[in-house]
Amino acid sequence: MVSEPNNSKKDDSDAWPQLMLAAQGGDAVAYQRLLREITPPLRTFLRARFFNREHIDDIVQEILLAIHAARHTYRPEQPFRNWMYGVARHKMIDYLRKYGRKTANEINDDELVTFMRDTANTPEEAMLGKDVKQALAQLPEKQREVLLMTRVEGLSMAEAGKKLGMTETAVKVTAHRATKKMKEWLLEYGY
Amino acid sequence: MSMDTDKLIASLGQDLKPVKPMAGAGTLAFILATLSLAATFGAIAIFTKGIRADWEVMFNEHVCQTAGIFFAGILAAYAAFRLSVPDTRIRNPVRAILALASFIWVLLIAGQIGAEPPEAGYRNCLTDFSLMFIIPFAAGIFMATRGAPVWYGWAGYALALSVGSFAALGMRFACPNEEPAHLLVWHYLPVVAFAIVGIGLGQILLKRKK
Repeated sequence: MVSEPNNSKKDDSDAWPQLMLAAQGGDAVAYQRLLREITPPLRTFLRARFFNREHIDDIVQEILLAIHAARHTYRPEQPFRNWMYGVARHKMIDYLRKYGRKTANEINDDELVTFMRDTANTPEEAMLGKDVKQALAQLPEKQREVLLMTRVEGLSMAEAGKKLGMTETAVKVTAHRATKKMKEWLLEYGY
Repeated sequence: MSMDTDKLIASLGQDLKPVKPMAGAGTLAFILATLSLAATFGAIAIFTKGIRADWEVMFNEHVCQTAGIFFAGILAAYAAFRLSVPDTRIRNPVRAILALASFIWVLLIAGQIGAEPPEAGYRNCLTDFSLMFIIPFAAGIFMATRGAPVWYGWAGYALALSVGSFAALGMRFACPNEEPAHLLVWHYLPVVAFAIVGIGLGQILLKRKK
């Protein structure tokens, strides 16, 4: 399970709206402090969602550039984190569209497991596991059960089969079909 | 933090210039509505024979209809500008607002269905509608790109629905034909058609790199 980014730095994040307002006024020191403080939670956000670690630095930098370009759209009545993760999410999807399409069929099983264990969409949604629930809801009940048992709980095919009253081969076939459906959903959703 | 990211942050700090925060969605919707209505009635004055003589009668008889069109325009404009600011929490509220604006148009169109086909010879209405649409839509796109839209297609749809609504409102004051079938084909369905085209235009025009 991925924890909420920057949970332990609540005091720092409370200052972010003020820092951004100061940055809008041209305060470079406040702006640099803000960008330095938001970088670790952005990395955590990406690490929780993104599977290729090599890309994280690139995407973080793209997000920082996007935040810079869109800084005038932040308004104090809007929660800063929602605004920031709105930019981050958009840039992440944009990046995946740009560089991920050519490897669209190459989501591997480890990546799928990472996604399934991840409940962090935005930090606020992390506790709800909204995306994972949505993805799993696309699957028929049997496939969902097999996938959770074999990929998340870590049961072997034989153990899962025993629990579900299925043969090992049937579990393998069901897991394969479920994996394929989940991958299709991930691609459609822009992962 | 990697060195590259450190350097980037230092560079962004050095390049920092003061910016004026973008106006709120309500303010921008009000500006677009005012602009659209001004352009619409300007187009009526310049390109048509002016406001219909019996506009007061029409307005009194169809006050709910005209109010509905205006309300749909305002709602769609508000949704368009909410979609112009990044936010992880806007999807559902904006969907509801857009659904309401679209639902008003479904009701308006459903109210005209079943009428006899319109007489030929009213294609001018579509030309007038287009003239009332183009400038406010271009202005709306410009205003939206001053923000940072992330759902291009939906923002384009909302803008087109809004501007189309105001153009349709203008048409009610310009065209004296009250046949339900005429209203359906030449005044109301163009709003839907333009809104659908707006999805594609939004994806092209709002995606521009800054």
